[in-house]
Amino acid sequence: MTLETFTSDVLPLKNKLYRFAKSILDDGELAKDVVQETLMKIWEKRQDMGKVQNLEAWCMTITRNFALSKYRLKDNQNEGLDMTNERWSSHSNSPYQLLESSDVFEKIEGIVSGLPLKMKEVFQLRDVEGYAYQEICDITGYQLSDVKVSILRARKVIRQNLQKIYDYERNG
Amino acid sequence: MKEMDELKKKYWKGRTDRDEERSLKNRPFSHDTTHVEDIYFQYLNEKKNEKINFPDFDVEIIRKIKGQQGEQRFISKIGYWRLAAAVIILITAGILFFNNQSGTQTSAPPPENLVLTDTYNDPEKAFEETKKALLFISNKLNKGTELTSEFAKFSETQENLKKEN
Repeated sequence: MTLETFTSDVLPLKNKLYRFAKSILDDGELAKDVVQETLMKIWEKRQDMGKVQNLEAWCMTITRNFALSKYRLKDNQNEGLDMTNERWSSHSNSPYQLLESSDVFEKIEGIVSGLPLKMKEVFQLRDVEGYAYQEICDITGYQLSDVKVSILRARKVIRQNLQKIYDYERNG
Repeated sequence: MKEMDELKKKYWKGRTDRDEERSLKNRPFSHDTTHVEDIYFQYLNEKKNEKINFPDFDVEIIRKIKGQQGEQRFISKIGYWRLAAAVIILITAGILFFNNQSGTQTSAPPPENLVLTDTYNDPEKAFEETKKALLFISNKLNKGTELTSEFAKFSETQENLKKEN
């Protein structure tokens, strides 16, 4: 792969990679670092590109690996600070904070970032990026049934919380 | 409208396909919509347009790649120089060794008074020489046994002393 091919085929994926990394990390700066590391890794592995069947899925998988290692690091640091935090809530706003937020977009963002990691990943790939279930399996390595269950559960959690927002908005 | 409500229900049950999900997200939303569900689908649509917002991101990546390439080229240049130096050293060493070898063969002829004689042409002489050599060795060996006999004397005296006590 030449630098020209890299610029035309890989670099345009940066926004997608960034969104995926950000959905895992809830941190734009860290997500940017992940994308940089991913792109450099892809460039280093350019000799293996011939074996890759789906370039985009391959790039997404590398992004996921980098993001997860950063997530674990971040999670360990958080656990060190507060051992009582549960994994579910460690990256999210409290329901009260969510309802108090004036912007509904922000409230939805809070609900999504509060999802457990697996649900968040699958939700991002399916409901935001619009990947097919099989592509999600290829990227994440999860089983098909696992992906379907996770997306259903994520939507259920989101819907319940949307209902709370709706009730709050109506009743003041 | 009713169709859209049906589609939403299907979505929440996880039964929609990608086209249906796309139509839920990509439909036109009025800016003043207050329905939370509609805002949610609008959110999904807008979320997909989020971009990496760092100035000169591409330039930075290309710069890093070019820097890496330059580094690799430099390293490979060093490698070539090392290889060339090793080859030169080997060739020089080879030439020196060859010259040395051929020099010793031609420049130092054996002294004329040195006559290499052997006894294999005269079996009797060979027998005598061998006998001499073997006798010499056996004499030396006997010296060794003389020492052991002295040790034997020592242990004998020790035994006698023990008996007397």
